[in-house]
Amino acid sequence: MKNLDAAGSNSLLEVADLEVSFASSAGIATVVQGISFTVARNETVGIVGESGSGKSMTSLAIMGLLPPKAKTTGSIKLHGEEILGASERHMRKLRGNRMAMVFQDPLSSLNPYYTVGMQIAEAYKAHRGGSMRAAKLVAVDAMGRVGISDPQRRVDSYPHQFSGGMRQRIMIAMAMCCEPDLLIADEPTTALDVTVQAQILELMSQLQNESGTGMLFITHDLAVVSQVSQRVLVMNKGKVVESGTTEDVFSTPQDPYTQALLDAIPRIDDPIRALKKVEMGMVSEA
Amino acid sequence: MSMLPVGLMAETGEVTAEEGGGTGPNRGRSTTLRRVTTAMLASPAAMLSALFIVLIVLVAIAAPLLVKLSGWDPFQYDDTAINADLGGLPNLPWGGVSAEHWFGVEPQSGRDVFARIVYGARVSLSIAFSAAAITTVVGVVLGMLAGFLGGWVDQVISRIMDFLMAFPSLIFMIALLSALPAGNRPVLLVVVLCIFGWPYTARVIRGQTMSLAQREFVEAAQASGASKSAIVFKEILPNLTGTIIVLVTLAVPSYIGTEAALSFLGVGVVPPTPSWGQMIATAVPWYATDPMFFFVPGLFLFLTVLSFTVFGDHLSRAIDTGETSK
Repeated sequence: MKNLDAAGSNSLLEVADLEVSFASSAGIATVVQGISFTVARNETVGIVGESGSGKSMTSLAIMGLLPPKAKTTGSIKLHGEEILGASERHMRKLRGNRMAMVFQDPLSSLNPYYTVGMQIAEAYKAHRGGSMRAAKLVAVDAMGRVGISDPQRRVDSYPHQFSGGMRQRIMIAMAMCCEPDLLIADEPTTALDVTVQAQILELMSQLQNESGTGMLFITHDLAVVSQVSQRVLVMNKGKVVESGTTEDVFSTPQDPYTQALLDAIPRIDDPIRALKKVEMGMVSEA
Repeated sequence: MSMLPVGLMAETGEVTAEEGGGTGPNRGRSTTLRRVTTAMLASPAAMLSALFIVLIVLVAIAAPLLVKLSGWDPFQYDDTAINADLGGLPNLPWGGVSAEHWFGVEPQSGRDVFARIVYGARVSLSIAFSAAAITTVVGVVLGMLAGFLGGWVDQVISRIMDFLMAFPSLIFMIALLSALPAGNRPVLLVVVLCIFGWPYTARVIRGQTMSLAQREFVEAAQASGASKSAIVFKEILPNLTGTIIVLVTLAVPSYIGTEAALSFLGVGVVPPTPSWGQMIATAVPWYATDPMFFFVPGLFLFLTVLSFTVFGDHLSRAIDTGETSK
């Protein structure tokens, strides 16, 4: 569709040596330490790791939404174009249009004051312009595509009239309405129960197949990542400790941290155990 | 797609159950409005206050008409209603209440109290309403700027607010108003009330904006490419509506009170323009011989301030219940 790749490679997003640090009175805290990865069109890359491992900071860095006091170095390229350090104005054009984001908590991600239709329409109109009426039609269509029944009627409903799963569908509709090239999903299923989670994952991969969107899927849930992604990055303490195809990482984990994580997945035939302790030295060497 | 329909049915089922009453798709804002109205209608105190507020506002608007009806304008002297031999006390008992002068007459001059109350309402309400409108606009804008932008903008605005709130404002107002030329006193009063009034609105708005700005829908709006001004005015401001309405209804009585206090102290509205506080001040030397003259403006001032306060309190409670249950 859009072949803007300068290098001729088919990678949509290229992150190289990304480093994010915060200066505080206690010194400099580096929360992301020189990570590199790529996402291709129609590919899903999973980032897994525990809380505080730098997953979300990575995604916010890509969107250019880090707080101003964060110091970011390295390179982030979207379609070969460097976007790290791009002007706020330029980033605003990219956000929601070329790259979009789905957040963890669908309950608080929607503005309680507006109807869901209004919110999808606004997101569309911000980039594509046109009349409110036309945007509203796009919203109805988008709601239909994410599997909301009777979108014609539900378009005028308020967020509190939807269940959690439905709200996450709305968020996905909002993120996808401008047909972005890259979708960053930051723990999109964490706040949902298991059955709804499965439906949302199904929906996301279905939409991805239709549009060819590249997806960066951030989660701490290994089961989810094994379902959706082709490649996986395992992050710990701001570093990528292991990366590879999902199959390789899951079947033959090399890093002790990854092994510990996989070991910690509860099994129905096994008694409950605590997370195996990983020696600090082993992790930082990797 | 194979597994979707089943799940969807489960979810839509859930949604219809949620709808309960089945009042159709367009609930949301209209339900909030309806819920608040129902709560207000159910409370006799709130309804009585509302009734009194409406009455006073109508009286203030229709003042020239009412005065025509009663036959006396507020500046007209009536020598026949007072007794010069008694130092100007009204001829009739109860402050001279009669079919001619409905609320009695002013001692010494014989001016009609009803007409002065009616015109006084005009002055008091227009000063209080304008001051409330201006402080709300200024307070909301500065409060949102401080809360949303944070950093040095917040520092500057917050320090100014601290300074103004810590200031002995009444003393300063008295000093300022007595030093300034009388000129257009009502306008001066509004300006002075605004200078010291806006921090009270801004402080609340700043706090609420800070907590709203942390909400994920603001981040979501940012992630979909919304500009800062769009976030402030389209995402945050509408969510502040309830707070702003309550702040306005509670600001009005405090300005009515302050205006009355300043006029009472002789630095407010200049005679012969009537104002309630000034009438009370004039009545002080007569409280023993003509208590009615003191009582009438006092009662109006008291009831007006009480009505606004009770109404504002009930409104804030009615809106809050909805917010917490959301």
